[in-house]
Amino acid sequence: MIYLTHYRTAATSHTDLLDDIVYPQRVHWFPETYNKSKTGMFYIPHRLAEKVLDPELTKTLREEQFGKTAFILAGGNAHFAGINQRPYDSQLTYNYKFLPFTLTQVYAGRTAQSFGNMDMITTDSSACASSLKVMMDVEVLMKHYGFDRVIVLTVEDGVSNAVLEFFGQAQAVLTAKDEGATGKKPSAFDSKNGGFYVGQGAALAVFESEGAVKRFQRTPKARLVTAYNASEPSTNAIGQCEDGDGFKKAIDGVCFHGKVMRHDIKIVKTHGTGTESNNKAEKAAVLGSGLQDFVATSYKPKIGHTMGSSGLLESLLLLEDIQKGFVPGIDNRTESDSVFLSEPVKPQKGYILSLAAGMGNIYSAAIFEGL
Amino acid sequence: MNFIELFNMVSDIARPAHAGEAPAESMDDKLADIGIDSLDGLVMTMYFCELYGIPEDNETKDWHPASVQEVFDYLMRRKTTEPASVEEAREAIK
Repeated sequence: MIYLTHYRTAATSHTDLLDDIVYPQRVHWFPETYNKSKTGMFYIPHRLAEKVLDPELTKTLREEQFGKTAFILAGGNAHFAGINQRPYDSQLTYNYKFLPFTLTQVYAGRTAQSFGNMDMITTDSSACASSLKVMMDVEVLMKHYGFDRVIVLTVEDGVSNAVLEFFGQAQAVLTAKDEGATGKKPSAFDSKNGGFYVGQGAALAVFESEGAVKRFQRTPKARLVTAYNASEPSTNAIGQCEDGDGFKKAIDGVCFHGKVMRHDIKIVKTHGTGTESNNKAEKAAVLGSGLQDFVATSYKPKIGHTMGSSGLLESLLLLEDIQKGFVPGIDNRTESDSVFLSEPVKPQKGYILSLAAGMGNIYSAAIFEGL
Repeated sequence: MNFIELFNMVSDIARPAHAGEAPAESMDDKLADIGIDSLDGLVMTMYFCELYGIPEDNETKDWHPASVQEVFDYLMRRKTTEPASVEEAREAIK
């Protein structure tokens, strides 16, 4: 058994319009993370990470060590977007003074050691699937390699010149121009509203074995049942096959390898970007995978697309909402049906299926059980 | 301003939280003896250069001090400005 014993999240529903960038757009962010960034001494992703690196928790974990421990930094797209130098100046422009220290293995190593002695430290750069993709790594390490604790830190500053320009140019985000012309609001699986704003986000999750849970008398928050990653044949490395092939393979894989009966899945946390192609692909997969009597939601219209952090971060937010007694509706949704929620509903008892997708044709699925 | 106090403040900010407290007590203290490793040293150099207005040129990049005194001597030789107090310095780099 793999238990989620501790977690911290950082995300915000607050938005600001950034109008001095190439593609003006609203973003979900913590503006203070960019304070004094032009000096080059402050790394925005590190400031985000500090929001979830609770000193009390790191101290507790350092003092309560048992068996083998691994640390995974899921940095998403930061490997291409982490260096923020651009030929024009905006409020987001900064230069790093010390390049190897952004979201690299060096930063992972330095951060990991604050949790105590480590038996393995790795990083992951599987784009926007990154943090959910590493759930399969967590499962493999704990089930097959005898690890008793795996700590996952996921952080990515999507609100950077490089990311906002890339997604603006790719017409993936809802830009101010789009909003003005169409009146659209961020939403998902809706014929009127759709698309997303980029968001800053971070999460820290600690997974522990049954032995560790007993030894330290933990009260687990959830159980990681199983996880799986898949891909699809595609000629477009930044797009999704609209028949949902990649998502379907991820769902089939996670059910097959985890020996999960599809009728036991009652809630689906979708990737849910609300773009036209994601709506088609994910809807086809979710409705065509043999799931029965379930509801589906998306967090991106509420907190933005937190890129590599989104898969795990949104799963943790959902676990928290279920604990409070509801599964949230999808913000700004104008339609009503029995699967994709427009309003909050009371959660049914059962498994939670979390989905994520990333550029480079990666699809991730993980199944959690709230406790 | 007491340089050892400033040095310990910069060390505290630059080093990871778990590194433990081994503050410098004397200008003769060797960096290795007070737990400052090569990566800590690089980060501290970045902060000190900012505080003392020293360019990150080849001379700075090739600078590998072994003691608190050597850090102080380099900063004094190349400084173009300096913080008025430890508190002001903390504000500038935190």
